[in-house]
Amino acid sequence: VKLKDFDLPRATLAAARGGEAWALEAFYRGCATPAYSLIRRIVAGAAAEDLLHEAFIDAFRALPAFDGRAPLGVWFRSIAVRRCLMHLRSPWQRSRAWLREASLGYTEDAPEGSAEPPARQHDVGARIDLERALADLAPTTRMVVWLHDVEGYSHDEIGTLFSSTASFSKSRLARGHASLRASLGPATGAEVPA
Amino acid sequence: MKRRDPLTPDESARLQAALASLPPLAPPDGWPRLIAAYRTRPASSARLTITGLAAAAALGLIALGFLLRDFDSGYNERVAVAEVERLQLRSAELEQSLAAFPERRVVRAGSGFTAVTLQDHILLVDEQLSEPASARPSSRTRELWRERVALLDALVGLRSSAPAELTF
Repeated sequence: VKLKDFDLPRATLAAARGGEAWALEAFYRGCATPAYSLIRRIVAGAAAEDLLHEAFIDAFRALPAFDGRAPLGVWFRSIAVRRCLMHLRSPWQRSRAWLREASLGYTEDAPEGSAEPPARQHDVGARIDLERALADLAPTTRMVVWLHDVEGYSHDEIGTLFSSTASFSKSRLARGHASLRASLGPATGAEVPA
Repeated sequence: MKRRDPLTPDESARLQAALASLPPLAPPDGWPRLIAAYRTRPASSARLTITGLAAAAALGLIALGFLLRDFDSGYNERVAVAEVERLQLRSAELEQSLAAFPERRVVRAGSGFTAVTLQDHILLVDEQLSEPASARPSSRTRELWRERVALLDALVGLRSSAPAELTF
């Protein structure tokens, strides 16, 4: 189940708004895995568990104000994404990202892949390669790629999220795609997972 | 020579499909910790609202400010202690993961530099943690443990990442 498709029955949602544990648990059980997948792919580290926890705490506290116009999962996804953004913007994470990028030989401004593309295998191997290539992207670029390609955010939405423009999102996406292609394909970078 | 041109629509579509088909990742069961953390705060918050309103009427805004401060420090203290225990466990797990890597691995210069930098940071954190806990607020202890876990996680990630970076 994707987060954007998740919702609770009306009675359960009302109980969750009232803070009843069984309803909050239904909310948690329904959203935990897709939300964790989203967070883990964006922040790519052990902080994902803490961010998931904090996102749920934020959501539980804000539930009484949830107007129900969009599915609950869409609303919760925006909370989780905001948490990721706060995390990636923290000074510690920014310096850590710089260290990692420096060790891989590229920076936010020149995010080419590592010198030797990892050996490609099919199926499971290709997925592992893709996970690794995704994790090796610069954090902001990775977030833009994931939100656009998997979560279906528009460039306008991403631009707004980063207090920037749609052009920012488009350029980061193009950069991310090029870097993924370079990491996944042969030296020509022509190959993308089929 | 790597291509720098934009992906074709077909390449983009295949890449999007590949990303979307990555399997979901299930988190460890965080429900018990979550409901415990949630229960602590809202229940107290509700009491605080009532108390705060009464205090505002009786004592004015200054007295209310003191009540809020006292509440927050008490709450933060409990949360920090629980969080530190969890972070200590996580830290031990990551150290076990690190110990599992072969000793003879030689890393590339760039990765080696990063690993040494991370280890230096860990030493700095450990140095601060070795001072008596009573010498600092519990929130500071929690921050130090969070930093330690993040550093260890980065180190584990570095040692387990791209095989092309590692030689034997």
